[in-house]
Amino acid sequence: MTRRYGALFALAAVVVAGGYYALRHVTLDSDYSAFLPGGTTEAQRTLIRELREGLGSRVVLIALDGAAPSSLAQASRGLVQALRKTEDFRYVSNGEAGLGERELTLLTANRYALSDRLDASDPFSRTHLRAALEDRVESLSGSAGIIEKRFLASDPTAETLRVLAHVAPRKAPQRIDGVWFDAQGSRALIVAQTRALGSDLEGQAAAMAALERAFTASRTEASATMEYSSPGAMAVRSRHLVAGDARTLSIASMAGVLAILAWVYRSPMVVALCVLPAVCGLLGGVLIVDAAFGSLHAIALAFGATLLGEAVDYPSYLLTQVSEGAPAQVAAVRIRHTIALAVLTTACGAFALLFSGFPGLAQLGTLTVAGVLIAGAGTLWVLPHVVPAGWRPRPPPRWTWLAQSAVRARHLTWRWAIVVFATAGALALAWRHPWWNDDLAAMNPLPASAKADDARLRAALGAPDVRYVLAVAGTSREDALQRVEALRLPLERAVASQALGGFDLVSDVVPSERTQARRRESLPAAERLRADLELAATGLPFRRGVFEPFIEDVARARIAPPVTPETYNGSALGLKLESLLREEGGRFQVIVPLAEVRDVGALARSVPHDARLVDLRGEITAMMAAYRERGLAYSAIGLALMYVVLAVGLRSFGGAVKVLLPIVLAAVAAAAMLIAFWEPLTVFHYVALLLTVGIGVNYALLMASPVARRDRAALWRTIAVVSGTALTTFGVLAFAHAPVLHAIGLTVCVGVIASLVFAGLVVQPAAESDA
Amino acid sequence: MTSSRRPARDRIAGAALALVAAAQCWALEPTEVLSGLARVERSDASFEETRHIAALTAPVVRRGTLKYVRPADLEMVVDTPVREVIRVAGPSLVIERRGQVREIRLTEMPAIAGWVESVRSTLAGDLSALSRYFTVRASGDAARWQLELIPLSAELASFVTRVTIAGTGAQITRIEVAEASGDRSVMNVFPTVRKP
Repeated sequence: MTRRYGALFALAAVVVAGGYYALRHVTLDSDYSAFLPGGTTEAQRTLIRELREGLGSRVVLIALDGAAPSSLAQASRGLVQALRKTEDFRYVSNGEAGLGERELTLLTANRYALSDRLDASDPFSRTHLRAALEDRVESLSGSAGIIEKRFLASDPTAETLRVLAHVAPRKAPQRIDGVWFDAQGSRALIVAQTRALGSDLEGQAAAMAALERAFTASRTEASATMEYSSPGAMAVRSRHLVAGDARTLSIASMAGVLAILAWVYRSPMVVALCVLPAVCGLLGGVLIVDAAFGSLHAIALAFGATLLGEAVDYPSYLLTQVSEGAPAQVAAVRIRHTIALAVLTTACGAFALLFSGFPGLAQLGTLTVAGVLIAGAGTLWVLPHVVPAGWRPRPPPRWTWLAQSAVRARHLTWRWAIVVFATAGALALAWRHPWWNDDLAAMNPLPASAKADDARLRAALGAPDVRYVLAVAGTSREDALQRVEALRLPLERAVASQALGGFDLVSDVVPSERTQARRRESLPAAERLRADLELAATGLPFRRGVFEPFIEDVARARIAPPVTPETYNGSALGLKLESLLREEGGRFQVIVPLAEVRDVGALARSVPHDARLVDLRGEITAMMAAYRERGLAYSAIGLALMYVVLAVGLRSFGGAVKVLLPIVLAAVAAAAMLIAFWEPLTVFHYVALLLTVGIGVNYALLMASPVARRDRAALWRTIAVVSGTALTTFGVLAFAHAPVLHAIGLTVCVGVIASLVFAGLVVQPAAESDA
Repeated sequence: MTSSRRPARDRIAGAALALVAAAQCWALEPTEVLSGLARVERSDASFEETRHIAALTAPVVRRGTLKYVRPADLEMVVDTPVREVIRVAGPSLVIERRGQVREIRLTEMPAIAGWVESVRSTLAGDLSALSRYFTVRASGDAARWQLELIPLSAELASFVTRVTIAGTGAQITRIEVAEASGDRSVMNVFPTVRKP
């Protein structure tokens, strides 16, 4: 007896130590893209990498609201200044001074390298100069003359305007008092970029805290409010949300489960024993995942914690079978076969997740397999020896008799017919609804309202989600840029033929070296230019020597170093270049964002072969669909494994079918009910259905076991306890805010009820001799 | 037609204002000038603008018509040397020239907004709108007055250093713009009798 408790205390000490270690050392990761597949094509892999760590993931959109526009504009300027002083942001802009004084200066300084008008033959011939000068005389007589006059002396051929026409954003937000505002003129808008990567949640959280502090400090009126959104901020919020949900809900479900166990077992000691294997399982699982993957995803942990809902059942299978004639060790001998099969089938189901392709799901699979094996081992080999001698569970109440006598009333064939018809009925209800939700947004653990806020801010800033892009790859930056330059003509034609609204070429800001060299060579020497200008100006009312600054600028451009992406470092254009021109493993990739694509077919035909037209939304949907199909295949393998384990364990192929079939039908019916009454299925429903099959098979196994024949009342007490705890755990989860947790909770609840009904109807207990 | 009676009423209002102002001996306040203008519902005029541009050997001379309708519509039609229509309605400025239409939102271009408001807010008699862009000083008397507008913001001052508007009664007669570049333009305004 003392040795027995000594072992128990040793175990408890190990659990406490393990728990302490896990709390201190396990890295919790909550980047939801861990639940994205790895991607099978190059386009998909680029996309996933972009989503996880791309520059877009570091952009923060900020809106100030709640005060008069002039006050908001002042607050906007103050906030931008404050953010520029922090270490957390590498770029902040509120649209002050148009394209930006810095950007304008850079483009003007490099106009002779950037202007594609210089690609014409002899762009500074006398004829060209004459036409340009006539244009200038005319524009000086216009109302815009007061502004155009500014660059008359240094840029009479108006190259700056030519460059700006290509580079200036088509859809910029309006400005009030010089800073960006939304279309209604009620919210001041700011764009910032964090120094930390989007996947660096600690860095993101620090940047968001700095933003909040800067806002409080620069707020001009107490009524002013700030809203901001970024993938990083969303990830920080989702971590917060999932963690908050997990904490409250796990406390609630734990309380519910403990209440059920306390009522049935009437002993705190036994309740503690009942929970112990599950706790050991969870802890072991967490440590194994952390060791294998280097970190543990918050969703995998939250999911894994629901494992408690199943693992806590194993001791109950044993404890509810304890009676006057059968102390714990005898009951263990009778039930151990069933428990072992229950553990192995669940492990098989989860095993399929290891190959899912989602790092997050692989973690989840590992956590589940390790967790149930540890919990099962604890139940079979430790628990029977530590249950206090003479302890008995609460006797079965009368209604359990009613339940089973009602089930016994009909002939077995009829009952099978009911199961099949119920499944068919559920499928018929679901038939007209969409079955799968392949939208990537469904993977985001944030609620829809947070996603809608983000979309609103994006639209206000004129940064609508780009759906189509051209991807151009080259062996060097020069090679890639030359290929991009070749796109201008076909794309301009596509715009002219209405197939396309607009496009954005990095080569407008960084032309290839070849093009820049050609443009440099087309610039005339100062003497020739001066002579030609004089001739071209004959008869025009220009004062002599007015264009000396132009002659100087051209002379400077002839010997200027080429424009490179580094030229734009620290400016908005530099930021844009970084996001559109990337080097990956020695290859240079350029993204060409396309706006308002109206005719995909015509566009695809008109661009050269080395430019790949990528439909981002289509790629994501295709990727999700491909993942889903792979998921289906792996669950089929999981089911096959379960069948093999059952067939071997029950020593009967037919017996295995009788146990597995009603549960599979229950999962199908549950899926159909979800589709018909709640929502299309995502990958999370999917995983939850696998979990449901694991739990349902346990019920069916118990109903099929010889103990079920011996004592029907005890059987139904066991079923009532294990399904009660499962429904409590997952029912609570269905109230979670995070869509993931909600989906899991709902799916398992529906699945457990369907499994109970179907298995209760058709599963027959085996003969005593089989035990 | 009620509109045909308006100019007469405006002239009476202007004369009354001139009398009141003449009776007072102290310096002219901008509000005294502007409150007279504020009673004008609409005005029509032709103009001749002479632009003195340093880069050019001869000034550019533009001729055309001006139309103002209370509260915020201003239209300038340039007939020579190149036809151009400039329409300001509320916060938007539209320039039509050689078949090309360009729209500018005034909120986004403070410099242009200041230039437009110097004329429009004066015609509207709206001192508070003028004071957002300029410090306003008045001189002369109500019959022959002069407003001097000095830009407040550095951005506007980088284009325009001073706008001087002269008038008689409730009528603008001359707008002179001195630019930061040293260039300047003088616009003489002649009221026209509108056809009914």
